[in-house]
Amino acid sequence: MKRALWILLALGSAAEPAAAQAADGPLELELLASDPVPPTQPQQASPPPPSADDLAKAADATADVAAIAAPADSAPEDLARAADVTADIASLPAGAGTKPSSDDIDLSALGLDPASASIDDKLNLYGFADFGFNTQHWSEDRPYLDRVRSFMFGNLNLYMAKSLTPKIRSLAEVRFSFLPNAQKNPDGTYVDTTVQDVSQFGRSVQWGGIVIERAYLEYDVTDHLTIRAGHWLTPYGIWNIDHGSPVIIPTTRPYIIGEQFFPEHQTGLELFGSHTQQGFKLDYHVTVSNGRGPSEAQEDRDRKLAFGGRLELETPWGVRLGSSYYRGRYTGNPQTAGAMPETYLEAAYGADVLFDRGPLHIQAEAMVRERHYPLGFRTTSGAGFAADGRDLGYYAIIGYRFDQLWNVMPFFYHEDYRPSGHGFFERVDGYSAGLNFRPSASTVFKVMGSYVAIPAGQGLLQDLTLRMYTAQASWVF
Amino acid sequence: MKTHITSIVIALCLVMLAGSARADGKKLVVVVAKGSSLTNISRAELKRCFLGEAVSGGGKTLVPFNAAPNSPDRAGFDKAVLGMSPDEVGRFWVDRKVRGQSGAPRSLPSAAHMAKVAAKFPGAIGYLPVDRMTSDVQAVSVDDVPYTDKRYDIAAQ
Repeated sequence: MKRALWILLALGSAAEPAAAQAADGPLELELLASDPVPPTQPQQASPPPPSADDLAKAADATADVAAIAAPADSAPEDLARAADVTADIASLPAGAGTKPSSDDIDLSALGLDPASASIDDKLNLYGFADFGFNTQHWSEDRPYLDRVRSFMFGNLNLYMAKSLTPKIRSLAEVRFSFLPNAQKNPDGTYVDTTVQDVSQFGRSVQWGGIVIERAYLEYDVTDHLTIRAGHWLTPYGIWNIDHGSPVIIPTTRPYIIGEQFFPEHQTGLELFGSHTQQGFKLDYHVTVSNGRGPSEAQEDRDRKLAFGGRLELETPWGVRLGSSYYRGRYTGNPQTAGAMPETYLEAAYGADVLFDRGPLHIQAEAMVRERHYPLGFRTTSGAGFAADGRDLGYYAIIGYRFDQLWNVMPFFYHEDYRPSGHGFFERVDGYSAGLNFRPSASTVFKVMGSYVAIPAGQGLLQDLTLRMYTAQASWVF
Repeated sequence: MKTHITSIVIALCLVMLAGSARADGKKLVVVVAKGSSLTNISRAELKRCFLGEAVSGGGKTLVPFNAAPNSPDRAGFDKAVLGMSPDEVGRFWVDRKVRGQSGAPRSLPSAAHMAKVAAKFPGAIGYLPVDRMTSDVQAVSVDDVPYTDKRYDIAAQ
């Protein structure tokens, strides 16, 4: 028994120096902080013999210095080189190593030369993509209903970001798409973009399109105000800003987002900023743009600017509340030469709440869009004059992210959409549940099952239900 | 027999205490250039600064610098100040990139680099283990708690 006791005491005493070292740290630093004399001077006066620990530290520091020739972000190469240098130095005899100080480090090699007030002016190229599978099962067969069971490549978006000066930045995001190929026309035919490939005689190729999601210049006027000019995503709600499939929790968009109660993009100016006080952060956005239109990125058909804004309050408890507003005039293309184009005034407003605390995530958005035809500009349709209308809807998502099973997040998602004057339905009531896996920060896998009920009323799809199963892989590169 | 058991229990406690002390990471000191007028920063501002928001201090817009990813210093700072695990931090920055927002603060490969950058780069703010402090950087208190205070809880993991 005594022997066991001595062994335990010996173990305890062996661990003691480490504890003492940890406790000594602050005292040592107190001297450093108050004393202008560099701490290495006493050591220079009587240098202690190098210990194994000193050699290891020297090897680490030398490896660090060796790694600075390349940008610090190129971690794998740096680590490999650092490991090589560390191995070389570790093999030297005691006394051969020297402990480099920070004086040996050349900041300009890191692109951080203090004299040139440098910025990270590299062109950053990155993006995201997604690919999925989905099936749709309607509760009954109707001739105009498509049955879907297919794989689908959804998004391939490329970002190009660059800081031009310390206060001016540029960002462009382009989506590469197979569209408009396979788009269904109103008469039931399909768009076919198959053409002869002149580079391969007698062979055909299908061309696709690109969507300029955003392209703008930003200028920081102050810490609290930035001006953005160009083509940008409308700052409303949560979903439209999250925007990319790796960030979005479910596989499909809610109706109120897909139907664009607010325009998804606008072209014009956006002024935004934030102010923080006592843990509360207020974000503000003001927008002025061409508004919605068939060619809004190039021209404002009605020469009436659209205005909008957003206020967002972030609290210290993980709750974020937001409200958004948009008002503008839509003017379409004339159906025939000389005909009067469709034009109406529209206003959209909405509120959103986001609760993100630890693994729990709750988000919800509710929106309304009102449409009003000016006197004498009401268009006609098969059913008579087009009516003013009010669309409304909401969705809510709740999810909980575990730190196991590829960081799985089970989620539940409900939406309600009530459009006015819609040709297919009067209301949609949807319920979805699924799993969102995120094995790494850049990779997301999702599976989701949805049940959509379209109550009896008016429209081609009334009194139907739809079951939909979707899976999606999305990734950031 | 009773004495032996008591001795063993005491010895075990000593071993456990020593072990737990060894497991504690070194304190990480928030640092700026020597002579800066920034001597204190709130934890909320420090968090905002390292989450990509513009924060001013000492008459300048602060430029945050992080320790190398996956290092004990980085994990400890992210947990203590940002309240996030390494996985959560990774997701946070990827999501911001997809939203088109600013990227993560620049990471530096070693404490020696951090000391040099904090000392020389205008507006730089970073963090160093206590035993890697140099004479040309100055410690910044967090919420008026200096790193020498027992309540200071930013430490490497």
